[in-house]
Amino acid sequence: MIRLFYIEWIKWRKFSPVLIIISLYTVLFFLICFGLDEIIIDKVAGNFIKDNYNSTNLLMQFNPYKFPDAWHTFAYIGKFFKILLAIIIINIISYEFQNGTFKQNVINGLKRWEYLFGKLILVFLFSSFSTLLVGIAAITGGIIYSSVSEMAFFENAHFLFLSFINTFTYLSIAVLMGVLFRNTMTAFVILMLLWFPGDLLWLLIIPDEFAVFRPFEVIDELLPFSKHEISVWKLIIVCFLYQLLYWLVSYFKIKRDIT
Amino acid sequence: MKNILKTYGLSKTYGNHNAVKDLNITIPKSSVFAILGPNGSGKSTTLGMLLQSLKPSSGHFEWFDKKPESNDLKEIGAMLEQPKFYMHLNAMDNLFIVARIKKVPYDGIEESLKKVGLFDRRFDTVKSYSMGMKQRLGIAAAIFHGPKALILDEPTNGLDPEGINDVRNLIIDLSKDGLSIILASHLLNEVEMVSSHVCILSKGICVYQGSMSELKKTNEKIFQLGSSNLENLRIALLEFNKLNKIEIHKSGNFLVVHFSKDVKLEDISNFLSRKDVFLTHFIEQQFTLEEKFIEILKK
Repeated sequence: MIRLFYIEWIKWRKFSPVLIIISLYTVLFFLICFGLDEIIIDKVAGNFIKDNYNSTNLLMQFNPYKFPDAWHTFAYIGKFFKILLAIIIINIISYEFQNGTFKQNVINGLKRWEYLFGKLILVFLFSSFSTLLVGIAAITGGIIYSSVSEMAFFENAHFLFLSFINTFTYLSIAVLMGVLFRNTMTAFVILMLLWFPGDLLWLLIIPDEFAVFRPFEVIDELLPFSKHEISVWKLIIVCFLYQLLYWLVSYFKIKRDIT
Repeated sequence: MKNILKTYGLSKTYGNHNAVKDLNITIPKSSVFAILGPNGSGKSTTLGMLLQSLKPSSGHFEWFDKKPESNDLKEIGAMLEQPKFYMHLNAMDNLFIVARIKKVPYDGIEESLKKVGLFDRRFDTVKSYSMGMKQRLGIAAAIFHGPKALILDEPTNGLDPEGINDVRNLIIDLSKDGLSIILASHLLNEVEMVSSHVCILSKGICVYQGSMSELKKTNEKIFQLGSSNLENLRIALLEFNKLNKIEIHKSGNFLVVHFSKDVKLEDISNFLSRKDVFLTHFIEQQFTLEEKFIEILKK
């Protein structure tokens, strides 16, 4: 595993799309979290409280940047940024197929499962990275906005784990798209089409009670705007099953002839 | 180990098309074994199967006298047509990746870069390399771990004359070091200069296999003969008992004369001087690989 990590590390540490998008990801995430904090607190959270509780006075009490809600708030904001990480993953896989380095790696003796395991490591690292940023933002926001008496530090910290699962599952789909279409633009457009109109089309063929388990909906439901409507464990298990499916399909796809 | 590779009825079919059919080749150790054939004859498909990137439809093969395992690939260096590298990385990083994939130490990397003449450019990104340099880096990547066999598919494709010369000399040097080389190419004059053994493929079938010297052997001796009067020369030769055939050279200036294999130069010379015919041009004609190749394919 260390060997496969090292291979991926050498390959991509100087790859400019990775460096640019990771920098962009970090800057944008913190800019939106802390540059737009007043809008997020006053407008977004304020309107939600006003609509649901018919009061704006609760805002001081339910400020989403305070502990313990900070974990949920920043995980929720963070989930919109995973598209950038998906672009990196798709770009990396497309590069390897289009540039012929995947085939060259196999000729050099890399097993196909090792190739895919390398990408699993990348997905793990990118998911960990996004989770780390959410964690840093949540701790920073929580400390800034909470008074000492309100420091319920670890309560709701499980949203960090949910953020990780959210990103990991989404990036697993990105790997599958990269492996299937082998072209950054095509794979990304199809990912988007599967996400927006695609996930809605499932509603036509599956019963309402399973609607929440649609491929993208179940990822989204891990980090809802307000609170979970179904058991988190159910969501996590379904996400794991989807991940297994995406990686298995990717493996069988690359296992076929490559020349 | 006498042979590095043996194939047994190796075949690859795509739908109804036989890309390679019933291939039985034996590649001796320390040889430079050329696989020749026109485009689409099955050269790359054969190499794809030997490198385990393509599954044979039937038949099997043995590397180093044993059934193939994925570990065999670590004992084989391969460069298929234009080698593929991570363009944003330098030569060293690219070879580090190959070393990690093959699970071999980095020791041979610098030495191999010296051997292919890229040591001074080892920290430049590959995207700044010329085609010939990438090709040489491909060879460095294939040899730095000290493989038992090296597979080169069209190694001089797209290279300028200087690049072709560099790669040719490199192949000769490596074979002198005792490395077994399998070379697929359609550039016959290049192959002729470096190869010891040859297999000719046509439409996926092996139509000839043997040593290069055996291939170029003929049952007769052929000479280009010239004289001040070609007609007198022709009439005189008709009486020579070891004569097989006389043709006029395409230039019209000489005769191309086929004699039986045991003819001696002095027999011809003495015979013609007795007939008062004196030669102004006398060259023994050697068959080129190209001529033999075309002859075999025509059959």
